Amino acid sequence: MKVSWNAAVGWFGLLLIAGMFCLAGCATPHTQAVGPSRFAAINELAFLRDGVTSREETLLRLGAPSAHFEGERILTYQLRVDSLGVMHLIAPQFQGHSGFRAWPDHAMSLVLVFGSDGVLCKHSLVSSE
Amino acid sequence: MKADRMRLNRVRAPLVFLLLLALAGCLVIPMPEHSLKAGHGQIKRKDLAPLKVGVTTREDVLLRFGEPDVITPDESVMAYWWRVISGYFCVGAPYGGGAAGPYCKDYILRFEFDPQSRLTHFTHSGGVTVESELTPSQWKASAHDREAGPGQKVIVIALPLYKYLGSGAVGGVTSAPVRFRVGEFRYLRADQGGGTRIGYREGAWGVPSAYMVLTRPPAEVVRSAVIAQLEAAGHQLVFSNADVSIACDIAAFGVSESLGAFTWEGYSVLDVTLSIKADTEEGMTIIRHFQTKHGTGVGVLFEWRVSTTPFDGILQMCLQDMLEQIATDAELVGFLARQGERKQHGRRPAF
Repeated sequence: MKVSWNAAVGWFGLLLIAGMFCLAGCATPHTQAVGPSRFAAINELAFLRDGVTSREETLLRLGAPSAHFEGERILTYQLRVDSLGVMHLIAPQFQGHSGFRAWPDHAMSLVLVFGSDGVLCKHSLVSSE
Repeated sequence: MKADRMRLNRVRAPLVFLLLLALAGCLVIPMPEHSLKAGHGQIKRKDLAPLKVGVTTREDVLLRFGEPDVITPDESVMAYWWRVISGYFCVGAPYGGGAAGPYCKDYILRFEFDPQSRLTHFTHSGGVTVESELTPSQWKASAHDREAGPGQKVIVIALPLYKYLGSGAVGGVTSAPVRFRVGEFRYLRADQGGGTRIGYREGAWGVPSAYMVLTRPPAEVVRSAVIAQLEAAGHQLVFSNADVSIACDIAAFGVSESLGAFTWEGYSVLDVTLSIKADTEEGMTIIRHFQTKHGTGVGVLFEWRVSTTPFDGILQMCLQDMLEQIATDAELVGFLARQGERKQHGRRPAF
């Protein structure tokens, strides 16, 4: 069968446009705080309660944070949750050439804000999905 | 009609040829931005709408966007960075050569704060060379780079805290639980290269070719395991009004390797001394020493380079051994039982 030049160009154009639409569907992961129900599903973080949990308990349960701000008023941890729902803490890793953090796939960022009395006052879990 | 079409094709063919020549063998296909190539995630401009200069604090930014990718030592500047695919390229070369792949666009969201932690300025910029806008030397150094020293290779061994391992602690549950608090856990080799370095890989003539570091400090891993074991035995971790307090010196927690002409074997060791003190007027203390060592078994020399798994495995076996030793140590179990009974009956235990 002989395919005309116009038809070939037309089909190529259509394939290109279809491909662009398909790839546009591969949305870029968006950074956002997870909802309370998702947070509550992580058993290892059940001990975190605003107004109750102390910094001491947090450090004993989760260990050294991946970063801390304003002294130790704000602590952050990197973690991921596996397919069984089990949480794994991740130590921060850095890219050698830029010094930027190298985030593993499905990593989340736990942010804990403590009051002057050392008791947790706000927290959030930020994911990219 | 057919003649017209042939004439048209005759005109079009040279035009296409000229266009290909102009592109010099390079085909670039722009696409809608998609897929994350690096960084934690995309932050859209609309996400920045709630931010107000002079009002928003560092705390607000962290709670909203999580841990930043880079932070200056004084925390006055922090930034989030991500890279997305914005198209594909294809380069042709003679004799069947050439290359193809995605081309990317970098984004940086940069925040500046005043000494009162209020937001003073923020910028959202994107481009191919945006990464170079930020000088790496101004950021806090990598923890692992500090461990190994400049130019040294680092092998990171991901050893999860025991709590997140499937096996966890061992042993039965006591009928006389105690409330315990955790004192200092010291890794005595921390001065020999830092907090997370636990060994090195030998190169030619025994010279270190790479340093092995844990994802968490050894003292933290051992502390976590000890807490797990005591909780599994029915005791309760508390932060005040404890019946006993526990401290620990870790003399060894590391890996080493033995190289033959064609063979290799890895070893791990754990050596801890627990000090358990009763929180009574007498302050009775017992000291228990636990040692364990495991090997990978002899393997073919070139197999071991492909994975760090053998090290993960033998370190976890050492930890598991320690848990079993703690669970079955008659002196330790007896001491804790006496403290538990004392609490239950409100009287001093008979030592």
